[in-house]
Amino acid sequence: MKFLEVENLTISFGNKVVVNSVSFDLAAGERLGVIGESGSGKTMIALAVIGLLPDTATATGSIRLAGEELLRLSDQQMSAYRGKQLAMVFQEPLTALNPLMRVGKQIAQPLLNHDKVSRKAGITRAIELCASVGLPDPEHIVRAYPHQLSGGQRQRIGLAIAIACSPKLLIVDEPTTALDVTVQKEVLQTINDLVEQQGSSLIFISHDLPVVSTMAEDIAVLRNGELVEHANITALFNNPQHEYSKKLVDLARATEKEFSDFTKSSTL
Amino acid sequence: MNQNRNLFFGICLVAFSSTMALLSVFWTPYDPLEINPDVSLAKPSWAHLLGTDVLGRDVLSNLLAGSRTTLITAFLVVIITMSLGVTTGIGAALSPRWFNRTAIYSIDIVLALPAVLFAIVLAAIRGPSTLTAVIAISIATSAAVAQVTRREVAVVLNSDFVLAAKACNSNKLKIVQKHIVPNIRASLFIQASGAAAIAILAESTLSYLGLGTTPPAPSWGRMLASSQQYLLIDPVVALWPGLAIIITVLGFNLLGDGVREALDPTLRKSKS
Amino acid sequence: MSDPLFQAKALCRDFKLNRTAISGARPVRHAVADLNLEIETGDRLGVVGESGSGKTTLAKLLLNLDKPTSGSLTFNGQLFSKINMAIFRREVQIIFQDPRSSLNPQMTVAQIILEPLVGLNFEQNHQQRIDQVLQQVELAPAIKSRYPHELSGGQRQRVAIARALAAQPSVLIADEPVSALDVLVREEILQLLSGLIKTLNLTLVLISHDLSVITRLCNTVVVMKQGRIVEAGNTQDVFANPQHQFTKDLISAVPRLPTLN
Repeated sequence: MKFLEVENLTISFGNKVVVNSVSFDLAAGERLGVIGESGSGKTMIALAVIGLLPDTATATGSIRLAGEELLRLSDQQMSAYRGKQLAMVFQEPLTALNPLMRVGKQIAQPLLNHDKVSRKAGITRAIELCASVGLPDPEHIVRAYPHQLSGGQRQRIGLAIAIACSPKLLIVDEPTTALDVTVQKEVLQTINDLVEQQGSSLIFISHDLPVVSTMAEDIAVLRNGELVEHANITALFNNPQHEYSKKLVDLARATEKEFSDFTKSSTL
Repeated sequence: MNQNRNLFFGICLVAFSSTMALLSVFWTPYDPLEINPDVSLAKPSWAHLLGTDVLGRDVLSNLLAGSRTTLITAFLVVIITMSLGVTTGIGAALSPRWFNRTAIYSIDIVLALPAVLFAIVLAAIRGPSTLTAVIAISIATSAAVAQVTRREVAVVLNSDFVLAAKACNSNKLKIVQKHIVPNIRASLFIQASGAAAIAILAESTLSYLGLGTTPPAPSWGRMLASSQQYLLIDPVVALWPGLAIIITVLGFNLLGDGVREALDPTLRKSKS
Repeated sequence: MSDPLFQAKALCRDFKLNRTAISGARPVRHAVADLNLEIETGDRLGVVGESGSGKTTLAKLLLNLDKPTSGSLTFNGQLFSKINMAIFRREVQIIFQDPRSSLNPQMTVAQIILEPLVGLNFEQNHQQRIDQVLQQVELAPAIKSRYPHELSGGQRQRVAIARALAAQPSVLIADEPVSALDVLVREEILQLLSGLIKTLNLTLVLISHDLSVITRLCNTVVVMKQGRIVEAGNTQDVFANPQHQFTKDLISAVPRLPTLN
């Protein structure tokens, strides 16, 4: 039995099917990259796993976390899992945070909810977490409001919130799309370090193949709600099976080659 | 139209009230002003379909005649409010920063004062009447419309497509016409229907307070006011004007929503 | 020697921010600071930088959609304050980043492309020109009656390009033209742009944070940081031999595909 087992997951909004019978597994400590364009259903799958699908969506199939069936759980039952066993970092750092609450308090929330620590202990732990996600001056930053921080800092706060209770499964949805490329590099490194330290499983969702390829060994390619290919990264790059994956890989390769040609005599 | 339920019911309800008003111009069962103490507070019967009030006046006739006052007030208020409010709002948003600021503060001051205050002052100057109510309500409501419109226009002005329009050398008038108005149209319809609803309720309130339509002219608000004393004896008398107000206000709100839906291309089903 | 197409000298654009304290002057953000730049006709200039570096502000200044706080800008040797805007706008056009917000949701595609033709007094038949430019961006004529929300991201960006090219400008300023698009669509649009620039002999100013887009389309590049140009030159030279630390950081931050046999 794998840590996360998704079987024949189908998500629809009324008559419109957005995810069509997707199945994949994830072992403990493993990293899966989910690649797809907008409308491919990748975010919906993440929301289904974490139990945050909109009310208008219907999901059938099975999502089992360490044997427990998640799809049939009520929202209340699921909230016991959320933040504790599994957590998610969302795409847009500004809208994912409560603008009216200091960030330290937001980081402490999962600790207060799940581990039932005191408020003071929660803030202390929040300061530690800020340090571990690479934020400068943690004691002061916990008192800041989201709009006072930069995009990269906000995304790190999102990370800190997600890892607060050391979840066994971390889902990140396009965590660096809204960030500059230099900041992206640092945030990706931070995610990498955290996941290694905690030994958690990672699902990394993105539309950017080069980014995904630096974060996961296993890659699932989604197109229009269908899982068109699921392969190890080496296999995917050397021998993509599906037409669509081939296009993505070829494009990424061509773009990189063109760029390398420019920098080949680089002194870096 | 079948898909646009708001529009359908909105039109039905407003048409209902309008029909009452139109009908009352030509015919009412009785003269609404005719006093008949013998049948004071009569229960609904074939003679008086909705009963009579304390002075024996036929409730149905007064309801029909009152709808005229109500709809005329709503109509006038909407026209004045929207003209004044929207032009002020657009003008403020398009003008240089200092003028914009001044406009905002002025509007805020007007907003802080309730319509009732304007009505009292106006009534003191020119005496209470339907027109007094119309003017007072219009001033107060246009401030709100101006404020909302200004904000919405500011948002549209910031968008890339307005920037593109400027890059095409479109002048300010063109930008207002082609870019701003179509994109605030939805909001304007909602505000207009909101203004109509507010006008009806406000007119009723002011008439109730004696600052609006004066006796003996029929008015739903005054019918409510006069039935208040007799609520314990005959509550049904208050029911009819109250119901009429609710139906008309609801009708305007639904109509506003319905028109907005019908006009907004992004809400229509795509043709592909 | 003829004048450069665009010349910026000591260009500054400051924004006053909201007060953070009761007393004292309002803090100022130097979006563009002391910028010197020359763009020649036929150049394909890339402007690279991160968010907040002043790239978009620079684009707006070059289009006269924003006025500088100080410094001078000339077009063909003439100061912006003296140029006839109607003529200038015929020559210089722009495409924006987000295809969702750069097209008026209440206008059809035909109306959107018509606007520059009317505003800039295009002499030839407008309807014919609309058909012609739609063909250039590889869109079917049936799209004329559609509204933006009915189109895909790629189609919308093509409409934006059509709008920019409608009145036959000679300079195209593109602000992150493909950043909001999916990877495969991005490729199509880049190919389209590349072809159009060659066919129509356009001068290009391309703003992007994505270095691979710059290397694809530009022969010269300037790197901006906090409103200033920190490095400039031929694209090949700058990326092969970056001098400034920031440029080096940018290049090394680009994620690399795994090297596989």
